[in-house]
Amino acid sequence: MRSLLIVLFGFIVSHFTVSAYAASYTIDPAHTYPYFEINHLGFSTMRGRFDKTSGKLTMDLAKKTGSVDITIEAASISTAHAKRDKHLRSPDFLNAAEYPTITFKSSKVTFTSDTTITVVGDLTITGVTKPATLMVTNIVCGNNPYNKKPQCGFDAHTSFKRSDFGLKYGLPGIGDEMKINFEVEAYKD
Amino acid sequence: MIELLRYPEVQSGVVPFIVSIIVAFIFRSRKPAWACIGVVLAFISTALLLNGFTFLPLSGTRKIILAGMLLLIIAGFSEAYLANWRYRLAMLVVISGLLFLWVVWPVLLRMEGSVKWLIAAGGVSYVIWHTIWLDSIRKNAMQSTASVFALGLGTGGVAIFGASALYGQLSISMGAAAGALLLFVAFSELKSNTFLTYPAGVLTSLLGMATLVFADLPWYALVLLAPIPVIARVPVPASYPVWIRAGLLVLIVMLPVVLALLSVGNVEDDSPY
Repeated sequence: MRSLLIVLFGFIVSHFTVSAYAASYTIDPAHTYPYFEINHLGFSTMRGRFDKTSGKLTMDLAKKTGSVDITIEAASISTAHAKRDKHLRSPDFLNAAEYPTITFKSSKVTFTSDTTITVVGDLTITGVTKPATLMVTNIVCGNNPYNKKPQCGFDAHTSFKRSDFGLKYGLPGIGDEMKINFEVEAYKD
Repeated sequence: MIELLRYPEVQSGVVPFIVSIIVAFIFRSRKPAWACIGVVLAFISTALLLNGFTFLPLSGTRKIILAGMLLLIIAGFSEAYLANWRYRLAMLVVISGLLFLWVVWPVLLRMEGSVKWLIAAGGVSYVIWHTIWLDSIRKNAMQSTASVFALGLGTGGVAIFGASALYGQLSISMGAAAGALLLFVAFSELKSNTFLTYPAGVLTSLLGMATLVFADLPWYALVLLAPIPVIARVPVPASYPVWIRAGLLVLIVMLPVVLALLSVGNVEDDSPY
């Protein structure tokens, strides 16, 4: 009887600990950066970053449900080369003046383990929306040790063909396959 | 053969040149005024090679391509049905301004403060400027073809060196096609270009302004190109053979192009490619 009570107590405590993070979160732009990589003329893998990202997450680790809504400012692309960045913002690539944001909105979230999720959703680049799958790993929730605020963080990655979104400039020299790796941190609302 | 069409030089140089040559050859004796429509058809050919037949989402670039098709019809209609030159020019000016606003409207809406009005007023003025000045030389095949040649290469050159290869290729296609037509003007004495000036003037100025709005082309590059249709009116000695006059005129109208390229080249000194 005593051991049953201990198990029950343990279950209730763990349930409430997890449920404490079953909420909506706002992405921390200072700790959320999408990095992209693409083949350059067959010689190397070129990497770059988007400096401004925002969005909302909902996550319920107990019920294994959630949603992801990420917005990336296309003009914030950075490859450590001013003229190349300007070219990447132009209509040859991202057309950032006309399509200022790149968005990902989830439609289905599947927990594959306690710390990994497969997120299926719609990726929109230059006004073209295509389905994409975001692989989320290393989900960790807890209190930030410095400001004590509850937060969650994870790593994520996806890949797609840029030509599917109408980004055909420089093909096939500049690779078609584009990979994006995210580091995401979000504070509980 | 299909593989060749992937090269930018072929897309915006060889293809438009050939299209323009073929159209000019077909029409030169029977309907000489129609010979110049090859320049716009060449632009459309290059645009379709670069863009494909997809027009959604309707971006600024795709609007310009659609405008190219529309402008040819408008030019034909205005020549056929609007005898009064004042009404005709007024209609063309209004359409030019509206086309520019249509192309950049979504971006204009997002702009704040005085920049929005500067871009709107500057862009409308730039497009109307080319409409009026090119219209003034539409009955002089040599002047108008040389102007379109310089405007196409100039706008394309500054776009490539300063901002966007896509707009560069589209503009250069008009320059290449006008170059082909210029050969007919110089060696076949083709005299009338009435269908060319309006579509070509609006398209090159729309491409220039779109490069400024969508790809941060420095504004002074366009200011330096603006005098081209005015300079094209400079008289060249009538006693010279036609091909020498055409050559001289090309040299004259290319001066603003050189200045514009130098102005953009000074700003941008390292290659992103």
